[in-house]
Amino acid sequence: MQRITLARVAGLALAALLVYAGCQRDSEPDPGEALAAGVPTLRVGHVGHDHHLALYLAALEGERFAKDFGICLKEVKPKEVYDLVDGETTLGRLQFMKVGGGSRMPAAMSRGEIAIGLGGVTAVAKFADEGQPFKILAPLNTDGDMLVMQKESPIGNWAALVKTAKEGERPLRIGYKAPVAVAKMVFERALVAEGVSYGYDATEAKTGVILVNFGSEKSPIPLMESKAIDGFVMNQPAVAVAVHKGLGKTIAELRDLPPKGKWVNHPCCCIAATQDTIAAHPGVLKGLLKVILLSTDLIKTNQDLAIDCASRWTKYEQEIEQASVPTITYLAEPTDSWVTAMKTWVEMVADVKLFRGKYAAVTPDAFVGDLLDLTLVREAARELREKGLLKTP
Amino acid sequence: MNGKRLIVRVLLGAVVPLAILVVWHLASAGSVVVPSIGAVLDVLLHPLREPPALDATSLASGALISVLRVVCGFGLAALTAVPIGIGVGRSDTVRRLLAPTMAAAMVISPIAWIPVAIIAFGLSSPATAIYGDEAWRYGLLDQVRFAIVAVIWLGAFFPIALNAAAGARGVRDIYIEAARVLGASRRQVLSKIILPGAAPAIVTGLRVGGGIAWRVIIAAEIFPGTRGGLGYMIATAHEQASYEYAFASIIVIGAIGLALDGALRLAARRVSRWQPKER
Repeated sequence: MQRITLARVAGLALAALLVYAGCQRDSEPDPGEALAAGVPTLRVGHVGHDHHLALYLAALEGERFAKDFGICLKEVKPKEVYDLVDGETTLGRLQFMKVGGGSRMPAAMSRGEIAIGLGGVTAVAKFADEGQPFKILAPLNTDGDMLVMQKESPIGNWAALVKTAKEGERPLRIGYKAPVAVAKMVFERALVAEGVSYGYDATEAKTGVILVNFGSEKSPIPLMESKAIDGFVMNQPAVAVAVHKGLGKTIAELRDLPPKGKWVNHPCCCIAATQDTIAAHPGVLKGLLKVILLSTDLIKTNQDLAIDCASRWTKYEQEIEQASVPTITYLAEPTDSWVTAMKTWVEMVADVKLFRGKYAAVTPDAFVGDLLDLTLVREAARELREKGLLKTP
Repeated sequence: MNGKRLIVRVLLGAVVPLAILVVWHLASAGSVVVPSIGAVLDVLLHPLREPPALDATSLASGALISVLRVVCGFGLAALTAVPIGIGVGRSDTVRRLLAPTMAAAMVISPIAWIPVAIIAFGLSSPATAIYGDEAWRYGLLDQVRFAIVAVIWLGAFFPIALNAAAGARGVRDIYIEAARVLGASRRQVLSKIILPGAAPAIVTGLRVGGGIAWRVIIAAEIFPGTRGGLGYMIATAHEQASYEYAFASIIVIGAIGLALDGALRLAARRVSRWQPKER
């Protein structure tokens, strides 16, 4: 009898939990939220850190956008569902999905789980190389990669690092997050330009720099605290976190490393979509690109607002975003400099044989011509300029 | 005397946890990665508070999401593994058909199946299956991603099935024959002889499977599209260097796992009561 009662109680508790989960609604449908027939719902994948601030700022400042620009992301469910509204017209409903960095965004797009993705150029290009019908519609940001050393390290700048690597008693151990991360590749080439030898084997005593993969940890903090590495090269906001936590100091922005000027505007994140999405929903994409362009403009002209929005969305402490956001170059309208930087990047990844598919043997010009589809963003920028809504060049 | 014994037992049991606390306290001095005991306690004592500097739901909400995922994955594993295990244990044909595959699959870490689960199930959930594009309104149900449940199921299935098989195989034929002589149907033999006979082994399998399910959840909750759960909280806390939340989540996972194991141990004791009599 007692056993039956216990089993029943446990069963009822589990059933109640499942019923609660099944019926628990986060929000009641509002008649104003109902979508008109034919308005599409598209999923937008993103990573969740401040590289995608243009999207987050637009989402958080919907009312400001509606008032100042007439086009906005109207919040339906915070951080998850937004209607893209242009004047009185709802162009589409966007569901934000935090899909993660690296290859996760293009992987989700290849499976059809997201229609639009914000993420790293490297991963998008790699999937396109393997035959996925992806196009990069616009850049999101460039730069923001730093060289950080232990806080108490005597090395305070790039020249000192080069000197120590050449003359020091032991190799410097510098961490990186992934083998094809832009930061790591730029750093390697800068070492070569300075004539510093580097390797991956900790037993190579004669090497100037030993590169250490963080592995699955993806965070330099534990390795920095344990002094397992002397420093690391990585993108923001990881750099700002290490500095804010008192573990490291930034000694160089990778864009400034030698050969001088070669790494300025090196690509980081972009907005990508499948060719099917581009063909089926050009209006939604153009509307979203307009919002991103306007948001990028706001980031440049109102940095306090940008930092506040970055902190509100990512939940990183305000001080961390204060250190991170100003070092990232936010860019949505493709410039000649960005396209040139994309070509430099292609040459760089050719050295590590990143591409083994359709881009394996193409020239940088052909690569850029195939992967980039900048028609919509250029149209969007032109229309906004005609209305006098874009402030920065 | 009894009181003295109790005190000694409690003191002995407290030695290791106290040593851990002392080491923790010493390690946390000046450390970013190891938070202070006070900081972790603060998180544990405010389970409903939204983390101020972490892109995650509250600890309680994360625990609820994780429990829901484990309940679904583990429940499905129990429902599927017990009948299959009994089939393997009692039928030569089923054993020849499944046993080699099960033995091989058992040693593969469920985490290795994560990419396969993502490809098979994507971002689908019971909410997307029922409510389609409106799934976002049912946040809790939408977080029970089929891919996560599938990985937990895989982790728990094999220990339960193999234990059920061993238990069913261990039921003495003499009992079954005696029941048949007395006119028992196949169903009665199954429900009155085989199932009770295999129950202790099944519960042992459930305990092992439950433990694995809780271990798997940490890795499984870094799936794309995940917004909550204790594993998600640990991963995000590492990324954002808010380690007090990682430690609090680890403690909660341990506590829930301990409670689950305690419940299953109690169940094991109940279903095994007849065993000493038989011996």
